[in-house]
Amino acid sequence: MKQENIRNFCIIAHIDHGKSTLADRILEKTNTLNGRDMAEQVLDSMDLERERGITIKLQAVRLAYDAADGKQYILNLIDTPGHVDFSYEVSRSLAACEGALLVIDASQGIEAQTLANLYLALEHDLEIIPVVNKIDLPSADPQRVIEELEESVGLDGSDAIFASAKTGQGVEDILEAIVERVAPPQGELEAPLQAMIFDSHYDVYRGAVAYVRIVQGQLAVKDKIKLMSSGREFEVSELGVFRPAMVSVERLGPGEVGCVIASMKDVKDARVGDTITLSSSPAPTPLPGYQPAQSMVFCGLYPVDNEEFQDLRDALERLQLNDAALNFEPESSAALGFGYRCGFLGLLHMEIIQERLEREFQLNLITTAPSVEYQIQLKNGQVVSVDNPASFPEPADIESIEEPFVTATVMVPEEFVGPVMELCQEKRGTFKDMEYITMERTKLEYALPLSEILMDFFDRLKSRTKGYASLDYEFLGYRQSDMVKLDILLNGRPVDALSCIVHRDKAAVRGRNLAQRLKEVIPRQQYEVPIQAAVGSKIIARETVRAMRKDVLAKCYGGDISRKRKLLEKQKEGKKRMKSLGTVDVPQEAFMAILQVD
Amino acid sequence: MEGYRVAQGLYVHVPFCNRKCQYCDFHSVVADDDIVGPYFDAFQRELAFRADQARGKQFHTLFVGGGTPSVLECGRLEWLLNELFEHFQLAPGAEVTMEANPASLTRKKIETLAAYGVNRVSLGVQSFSDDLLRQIGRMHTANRVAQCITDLRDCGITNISLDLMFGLPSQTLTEWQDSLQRAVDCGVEHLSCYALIVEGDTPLHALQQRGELDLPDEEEEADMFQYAVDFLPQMGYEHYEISSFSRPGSACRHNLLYWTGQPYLALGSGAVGSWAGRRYLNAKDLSYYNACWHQGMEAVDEEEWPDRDQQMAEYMMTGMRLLQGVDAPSFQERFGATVTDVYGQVVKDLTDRGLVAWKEDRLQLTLTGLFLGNIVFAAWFPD
Repeated sequence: MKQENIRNFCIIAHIDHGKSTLADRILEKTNTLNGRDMAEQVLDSMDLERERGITIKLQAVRLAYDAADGKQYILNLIDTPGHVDFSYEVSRSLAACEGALLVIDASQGIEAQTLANLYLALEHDLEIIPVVNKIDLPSADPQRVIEELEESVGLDGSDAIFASAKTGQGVEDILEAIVERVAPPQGELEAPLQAMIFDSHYDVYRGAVAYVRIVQGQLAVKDKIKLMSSGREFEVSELGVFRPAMVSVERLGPGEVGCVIASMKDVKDARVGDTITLSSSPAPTPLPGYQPAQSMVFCGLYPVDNEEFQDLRDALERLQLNDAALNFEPESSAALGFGYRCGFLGLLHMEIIQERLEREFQLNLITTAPSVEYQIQLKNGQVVSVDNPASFPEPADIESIEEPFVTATVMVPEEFVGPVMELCQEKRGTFKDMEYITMERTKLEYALPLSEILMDFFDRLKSRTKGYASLDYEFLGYRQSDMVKLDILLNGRPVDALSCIVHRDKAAVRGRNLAQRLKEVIPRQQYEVPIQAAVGSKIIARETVRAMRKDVLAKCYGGDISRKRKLLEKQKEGKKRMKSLGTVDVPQEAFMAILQVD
Repeated sequence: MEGYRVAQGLYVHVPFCNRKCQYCDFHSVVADDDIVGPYFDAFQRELAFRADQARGKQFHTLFVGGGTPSVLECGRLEWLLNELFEHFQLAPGAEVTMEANPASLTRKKIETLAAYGVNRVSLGVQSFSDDLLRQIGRMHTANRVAQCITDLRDCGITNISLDLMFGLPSQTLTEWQDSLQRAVDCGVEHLSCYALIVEGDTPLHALQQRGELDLPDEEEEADMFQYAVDFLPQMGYEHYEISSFSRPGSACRHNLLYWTGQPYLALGSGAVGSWAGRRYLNAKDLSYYNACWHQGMEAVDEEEWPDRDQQMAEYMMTGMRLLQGVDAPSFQERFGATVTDVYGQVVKDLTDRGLVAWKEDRLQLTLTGLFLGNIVFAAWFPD
């Protein structure tokens, strides 16, 4: 295939604006899949992605398209995640493309995250093709969307394509626009190989599989390759492209997108962001790598059964291979034993990792409440970073504490501006800016403590705006705050894994609510369980889980002993998912209870 | 209560009812004529097959349960009892129990039962409050219960047990106290007090899912159980098993077989038997049951051969339900190891938690353990 007939593009869209459906239509239109074989939304292959309707991991599909000019083109569709947590991954897929479809729901309009991703795409000099989707809906208002596009980002509204991924309307126009407007990839065939790894995954049989975009040069089966960051060398055993199942190819040339399999046994051999070159004629310099993602949210992950510690470690290493934003290091807790302190991009990222660990690796985990990283100035002049309440210094030793703030951008219909401002105030926010994008839509900017966003900010934002608000945030910097450590005592004994760091003004309310919430989630046990919340030595709240009075199977039909046994075993199984802290059995959700209180 | 140790029992399940009660998840279907006839054809084949398995064995108890055996017509009852006595050898003085619903237990049926050797009847009374009975879908009244008891005694069946339930929707402690008092006033030999459990696939469960079920909370339910445990012994009923109370010498010998790990042969769709080291659950689906037996195949849904570890754990699980507890010498005699050898750590943990205690050679539930029995029953199985 000639290089000038290749187009690499991605799709930028907000959750539910129809990206996956559009991708399905494009696959159909290019006969990449016939309708019969097609599972809905084929690009989202992880169960988790389908259930949540979001795209987490990148995927790349190669499409053959016969254009109106009579020539055949190869279109590489590189999927992008749509959630705010994953802007780091978005930048990876953008780096592999020359163009982007900007998909906007004709009745919803532009959302905050879409805007953030669009700015990223413009920074990468991508050709933007606006697609106003779902125009078949009665509530569609494409003209308003065009207006928003022109007002907020200065795109030319007349370039926009009106489409309905559901009915297939406009899909042909989109494909033509990709061919006409997106530039073919640059890059010399004869130059030394530079292939950028934009994603990777681990296959039990093949080892690490690297997804690459060839920037220049070419790569063939049996070539000796070198990974430029580690200097390690391998022989290519297989090259493939995705249609969307993998199909083997002999070589990949400039501009092409595919995967490389080369018996890379160690997950670290195919680091995302690394450059692959040829051992025989290496490129003088690697491609500019990605900025390592900054972990913003930290939590402890502990196996319920301590014997699974090693399995947890292996699983985290596997996940880290294609999720460079995941960081972890061992830690231990008096209550929970050995586990890992993990750093994530955001809450959703954290939840997804947790779910993948449980589903794909069958681990039974306890997650401790997420925390941000505080910078604490001690009286002795030292500065310590603390992302774990357990390592919070003695109050007497603390000079001052700084906590991370973000600039939060909320896009919301005008009528909800009041409630949103109120919410931001409650969450210790300071107003920065307000802008009317159109008559109906407003963009609000607040400086907010990241820790407040970790709580239930997004849920509350949704409920106060009837679901109309969208949120994006970026790191702003550290600001001084008066934080204290809130301890929880069960049976009079502090449980380190239940501690959290909160603002002093909110400690009393949080303590009370947390104690109440814990009372709800901790089941009755043989003995009563006092729950106390304390700041320092001062008890600020107390609740009691009353002792269980009756738990005994008293039922007829004595002969069915197997059934009795199974009932008891089921009960026991439920108990196994709890953590025994001394004489108290604590269910997993107790450790996340802080997220559900005011 | 001694003398049952070497006994064996026979259980017959009658999987028919007049209608399903709101709380019931036992195996039964509404007894239509076109179902009952073909069922008993197949049943007769099973009976011959089981009789063959039981050859040379003598049974000390026969228990006909359900379902509601009393829904069967007199002629069918005659036939059934006749067949059972003909094919199986019952020991002299064997306990022959039939479960009955006061709504369907007519005088004529009672006469039939008495004539064909039934010497114990267990009545599904549940409550003496007519309002409550109506709410849970029972078709009888408290007066009807009194009439049944009179008729049973007239006909010579004097060993009578009543089933009562607590923790029913909208039931109060006062109502429960009243029902217990009235049961005692009937002067029966045996009382079973069962707690309502809302099982999946029952109308009650559907109500609960919709938030329309007003059940007593754990405290109220515990108070009800506590009341029975205090009150009935004062009235001369020995509390001998979690849910069972009897006049001296009137414990249900058939149920004791279950709690002490004795073999029992079982017949009928949905029945569970434990015979010659094998535990089997007879097919529940009637058409499958019928089809199999017509082709001469044993119709079972599940079967297992519990190994020694499982046998020991089950022996402990069921034995601890008895207030007299598990007799350590009997355990050793049966399994060739002592309770302490096998379960030393478990017994220590449960003892430390105040749930069980040794009384001479017997490991028994404490009063705390009685209320938290599930912790004790589950403790013998591996984690």
